Amino acid sequence: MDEGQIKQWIPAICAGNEHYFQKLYEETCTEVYRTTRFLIIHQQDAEDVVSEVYLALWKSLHQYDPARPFRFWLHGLIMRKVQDWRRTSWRRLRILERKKALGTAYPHNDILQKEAEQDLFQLLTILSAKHREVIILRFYHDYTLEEIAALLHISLGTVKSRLHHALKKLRKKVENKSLQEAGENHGF
Amino acid sequence: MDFEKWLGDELKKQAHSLKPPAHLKERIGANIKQASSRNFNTLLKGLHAALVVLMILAIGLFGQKAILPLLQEKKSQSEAAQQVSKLLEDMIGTKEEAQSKWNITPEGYAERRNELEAAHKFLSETEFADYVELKKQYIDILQKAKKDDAALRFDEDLLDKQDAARIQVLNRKAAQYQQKIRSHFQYTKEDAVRMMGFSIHYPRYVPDGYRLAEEHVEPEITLTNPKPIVEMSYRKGAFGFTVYQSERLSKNRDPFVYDHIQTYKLQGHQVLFGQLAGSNAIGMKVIQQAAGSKSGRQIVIMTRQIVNQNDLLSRRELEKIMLSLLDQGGTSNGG
Repeated sequence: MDEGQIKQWIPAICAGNEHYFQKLYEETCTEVYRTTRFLIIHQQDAEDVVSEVYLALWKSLHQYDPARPFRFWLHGLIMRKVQDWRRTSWRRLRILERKKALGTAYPHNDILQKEAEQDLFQLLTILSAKHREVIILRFYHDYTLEEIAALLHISLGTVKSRLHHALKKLRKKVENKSLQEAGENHGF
Repeated sequence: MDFEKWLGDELKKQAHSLKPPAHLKERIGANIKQASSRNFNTLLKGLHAALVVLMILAIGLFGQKAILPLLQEKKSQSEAAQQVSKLLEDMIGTKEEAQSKWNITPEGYAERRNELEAAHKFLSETEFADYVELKKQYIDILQKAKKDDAALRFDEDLLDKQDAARIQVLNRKAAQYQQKIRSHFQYTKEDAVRMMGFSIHYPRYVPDGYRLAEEHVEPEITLTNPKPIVEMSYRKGAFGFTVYQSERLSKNRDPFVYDHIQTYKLQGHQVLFGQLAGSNAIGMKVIQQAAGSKSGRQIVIMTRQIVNQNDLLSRRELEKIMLSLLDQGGTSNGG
């Protein structure tokens, strides 16, 4: 993400220039999409949230303070939109209702499990949303604990505690999986 | 290897395989255009209001006689809207309260307000009061079946026998009023075409053995810019598929809801192909530019889910049906 370039486009975007907004999208969409997918897991829901992020970006870019890193501001926006989505849970409800109408009902965790075809996604689904947030910010984006506290508007102590519990849970799962795999190969 | 380092490496490795789908850009672009045009429309409305005030001042008493009834009608409409908003707040709280207490989205809240506005318009004063009372009693009973940790924030199974029976009675009574409200939103296919501003079509290609079994126009209960959906259901014994044609729909009314979605181009059209997890049901969606509609023409085709049966239409067959709809221009061929 080229921060300098983005900061040059911002005045034009604030004036309503859609061309520069498209350029901003091209520059940032991969990172926004990846972060959102890790946090939401489900592809269609993640697309909904990414769409909300860019709409919010379009409406609130004038509030951005150019003295601060754009990436940090953008990540704050992603976190707020993911949290909004989680609070409403409307999509989840709609999927369940639709499936009921079609004659089958699946608990949400099953949907996530089926969606999470790859091991890492499966691993992330065992975490609560709050635990997943700190893991992604810390180990995917390499933010410091203080930065995570600022991004999520929580205390440093809460960040440490969430990180500790999330890592413990992940470690346990990975260790169990290794044991299970070893067991499956024991030849009985 | 250190677990934390391993985790960071794995996340970064996995991230490389995640690419934003091509249709997302188009979707976001459309959202931005809509948001921009809304801002422009607000500005126009402001100018329009200023112009009305100037006209009243300029044309004096004679002019006022002609314009005032219109303004009064507007005023009474706005009073009705305020009354409905107040009633909705009494029932399920403000938009924010409804969200936190009942998990109702702003979109869902607006939908409920639209329905209540329609009830206010089409029911008599006594009927409307009774309808609101029924809804209030229904919500009061549901308070006893609250389930805060679930997406649907209540579970009727938690009610005792007496309350469960009462709910049934309330539902039956409310259904009579709802039927009366809906009777004002009965549209024919021709009505729907007029409202949408573009033609709808029957598929020119229908797989062997399938025949049109049912046609239905699903209304939207709102007094402002309703978007009907024209549904055509084709059947071959127990098997079947349904074609939904409409303007581009908001999320809560869009029939296209699948767990696994793929995007690809089909003869120049951007196609969404969906599959339900753990099911053999598939669906396809295309949004096409249409003269006469700002939001575009939306076509969704969904196969009917048959449990434990695999003899459903293939993706290739759905594509052929879709193309036979997209390739038609001008007027509906009438089936």
